[in-house]
Amino acid sequence: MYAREIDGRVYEFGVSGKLIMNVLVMYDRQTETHWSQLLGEAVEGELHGTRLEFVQSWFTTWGEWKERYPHTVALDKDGAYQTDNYTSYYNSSDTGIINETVDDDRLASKEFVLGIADDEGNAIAYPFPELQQQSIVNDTLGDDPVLVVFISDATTGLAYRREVNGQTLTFIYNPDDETLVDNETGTIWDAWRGLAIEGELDGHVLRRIHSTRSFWFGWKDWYPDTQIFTVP
Amino acid sequence: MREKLIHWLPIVGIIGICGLLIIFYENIVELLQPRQDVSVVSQDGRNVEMQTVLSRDAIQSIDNPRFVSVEQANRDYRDSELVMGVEINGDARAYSVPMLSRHEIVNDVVGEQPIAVTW
Repeated sequence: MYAREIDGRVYEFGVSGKLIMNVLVMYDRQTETHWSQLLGEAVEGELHGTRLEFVQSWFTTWGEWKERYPHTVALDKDGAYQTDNYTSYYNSSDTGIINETVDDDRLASKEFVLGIADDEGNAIAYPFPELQQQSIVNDTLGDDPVLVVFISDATTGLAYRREVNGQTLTFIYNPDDETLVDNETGTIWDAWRGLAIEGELDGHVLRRIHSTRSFWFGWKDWYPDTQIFTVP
Repeated sequence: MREKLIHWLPIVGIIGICGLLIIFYENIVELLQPRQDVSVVSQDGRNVEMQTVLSRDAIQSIDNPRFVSVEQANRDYRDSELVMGVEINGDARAYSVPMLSRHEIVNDVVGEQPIAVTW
């Protein structure tokens, strides 16, 4: 999700019909600039180079979402869209519309990964089967200490910076109440929001990092030097 | 004489069509492939191609989304249904992934902030 307001102007986005390495290219209706959905950046046109601001969001289930946000509204399906038209695609070995760019079979093409990356070319892919075995990873992306937590009931993978006030924290995860506890201060944190709810760091918030849920074949094309997490 | 000509016509016709197909083969093959479009530079300095697969707006974004309450939504959304959720300034919204996957983009305003929900 992105903010549509850039430098005081609001843009409306459409589907350009173009792809870069199988990833959606959007265009804005105000300038006809083309934007890469994965990068959140304009790749061609009047606003070339402009970056979009990511908006924090959660990929989860309806059951989980309405429980956490009882006052939520939902996009009106108007009785339609009962099935995902990509279901057979997910289950097949077809990889996108355009041929893959990078040859890398460390993982199966259609394996789901949670991917994180920074501006310095560092990238890590966390395969879902690995996260199902180990729901929390205290990791380092480039020089940044990061935390990846997989709330499996909700199908939600979240990534945070695990540095607070200059201190790097190391976490354990309690799946029963979906909380984190840091080893350094014993503070209890709500994993869904990265918010400290009890203890010395009560009230602090872990800074969320943008993560992408992607097929391996797509991720590796964009980040050919990516690391892959495996459970030790 | 006329009878013999009639017998030869189908064969001539077939040869003629084959000839035309051979002449136009290159053009036909080109038409069937996605056109190589603009070359753009990717994040790490690689040149990657932007390829045209569909015409603009062949997949129609949702530009004036409508929303329903939890009670109404429960009729159309299963508990196990995948959604993208956002909350801004207390305004919480869920977007059905099956619906998103057919439209790719929803242009919305949440908590007075204009956002694009993309799939």
